Amino acid sequence: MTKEELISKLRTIVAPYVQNQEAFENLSEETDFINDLEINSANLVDVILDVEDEFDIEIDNDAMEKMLTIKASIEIIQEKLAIK
Amino acid sequence: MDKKRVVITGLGVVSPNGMNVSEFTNAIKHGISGIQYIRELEELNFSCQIAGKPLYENDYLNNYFNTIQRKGLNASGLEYGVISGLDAWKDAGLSIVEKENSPLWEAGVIFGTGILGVDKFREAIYKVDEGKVRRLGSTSVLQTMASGISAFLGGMIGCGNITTTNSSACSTGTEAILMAYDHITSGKAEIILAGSTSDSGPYIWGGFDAMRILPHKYNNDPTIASRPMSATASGFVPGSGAGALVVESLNSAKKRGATIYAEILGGHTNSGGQRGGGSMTAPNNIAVQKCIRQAITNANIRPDEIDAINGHLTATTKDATEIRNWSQALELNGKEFPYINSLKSLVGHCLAASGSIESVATVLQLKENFIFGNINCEDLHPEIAALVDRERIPTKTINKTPSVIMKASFGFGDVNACVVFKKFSENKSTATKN
Amino acid sequence: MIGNDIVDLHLASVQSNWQRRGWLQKIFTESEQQLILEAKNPDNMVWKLWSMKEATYKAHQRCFPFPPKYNPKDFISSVDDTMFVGSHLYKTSSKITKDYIHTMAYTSHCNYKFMISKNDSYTSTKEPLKKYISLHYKIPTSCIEIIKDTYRIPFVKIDGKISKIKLSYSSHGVFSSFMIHL
Repeated sequence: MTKEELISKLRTIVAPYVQNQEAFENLSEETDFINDLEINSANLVDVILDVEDEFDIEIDNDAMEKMLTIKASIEIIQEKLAIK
Repeated sequence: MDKKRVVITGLGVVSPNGMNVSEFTNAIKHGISGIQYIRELEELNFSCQIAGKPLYENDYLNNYFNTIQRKGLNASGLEYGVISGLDAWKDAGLSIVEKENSPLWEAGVIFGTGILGVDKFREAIYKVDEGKVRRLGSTSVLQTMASGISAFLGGMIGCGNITTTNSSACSTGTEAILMAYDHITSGKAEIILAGSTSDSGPYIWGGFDAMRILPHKYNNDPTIASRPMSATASGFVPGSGAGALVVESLNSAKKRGATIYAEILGGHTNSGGQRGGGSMTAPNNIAVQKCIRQAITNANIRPDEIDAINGHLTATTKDATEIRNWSQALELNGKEFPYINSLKSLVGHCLAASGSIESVATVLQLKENFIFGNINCEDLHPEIAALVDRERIPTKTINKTPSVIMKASFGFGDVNACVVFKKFSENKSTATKN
Repeated sequence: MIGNDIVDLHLASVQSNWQRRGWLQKIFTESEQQLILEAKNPDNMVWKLWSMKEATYKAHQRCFPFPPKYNPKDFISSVDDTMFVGSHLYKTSSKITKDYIHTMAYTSHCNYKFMISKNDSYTSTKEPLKKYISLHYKIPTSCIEIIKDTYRIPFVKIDGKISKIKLSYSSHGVFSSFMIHL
């Protein structure tokens, strides 16, 4: 899966939790879930569960700890897909 | 990755108030002073005629030195260092390597001193001046080189790793422990005998008497002379002796099934550069505070997790400044301030040996669950009383189970050393028992 | 050191579905999950434990500054509402009303002030905090600015200079709260 495809899938996943629409419009690799999209921290777990469902992977605690940006999420998803 | 864990598995001490760990423990628990009147100092016209000096029969040395080593032996610091070092080694359950075997490649010695064997050196100077250089004997170099102490200990035990002597005035002993800690965390060694020693006698203490920083009003009342944190503190009482700690990686200690006395969480050494109020003899307060804070960061603890401090606190007017530095660095005062004590009230200022003897006292508090009392500070210095609640400066030993104790030493040359000890528990995190 | 967190219970009930498969397991330890399932009011227990974790995260990050992490399982509740992070212990106290849950986390010796307020739609949620600082430190509100550093730890700027005031700030739904270490 290309980076662009991954970003587009992540865009769909985070959409319901986003509280800053302007940042969402400009979503890029550098976007931070909490600082930019203003996703509530209790909703981050929903993002993680949605990612697990979408890609059929398991995100462990160590990976979850880092999943705060689009960029980190892409790296984690690619890593988990590679070992599948 | 987690840092390698480092623990203490053996202790040895030769102190003015105890010739071994059990005598010393008893003395610090019960406030027994080792300060005494020394006739020799009066005869030599010293203003301060009292000092802390370990006492033992000459024959006692036979337990540690063989006949050849004892021949011409006249270096008190070497004696104290060897006794405490070998005691610590045995206490850790470690053995001496047979002459025909190879050395312990993973074990080393870092044993500091300020100057070694001054009495031997005096002998040598007289002989040289008399033109009798050939009569110096074969051991004068070995007894007077600073690294004589680490060389003797390393050779007696059979250490094959680093064998050196560090020197940083009154922070020497604490620095040695931190050097050992660093050497082990960086994976260069598994076991290091760390400690420091200081000669006794007029040639060591004379310079301080000349600087007029020793008390002169207590010659008839030696045990009340050393008064850290007191309003009537009037200078430090000179002392001598040695302290030794076996510093070991947790892995190695576990493999041997050794008794673990405490863990070293970390620490820091720095200097004030003799700038910003610092000089050859006075500390740069910013540097002192930085050293304390960096030690805490390195140990990964919060200030409020410190149960007690074993201070440098020499019994000069600078004690209040030290307390202020602690208070500012930790951002704690009043009842929040940790318990604080100074061993110097009991043994005087053992100079290069102070950091190691005081670290032995600190580790004993963690091992045996007490905080020893400070004698001679019933009349707390008003500046200290304004910063720290009276109850935090106990005058009698209290039964407490301290978990974290910090030890600091500060020395001439504007140098600082600060180490954090913790009661050992198998699990670094106590949180998993949920 | 201090940290605080507020949860607007009405907003939380629509924003999150904690009964979703896998949700509790990602955030809570087994014994915390047990507590939730056995609680008389499981919703409140979820948000109480959550706010304890959030408040402790903030207090811990003040003590040992670290870049933002999403690691709720590293903050473990124990008896008497104490929290463990590795070997470090924090005390917490929570106030539960029908509208919100507010939790404060603090280290053992620590004096603090806190305030909970209902947001109005006209002023910034940081207004009560600025007002308090202004009164307590006798500084006009116009000179006070609340900022966050790169780790998202909040600081108070007074006349453009970062002050030593240690604060924690939280806002959720119609409620906001702050806590200041004195």
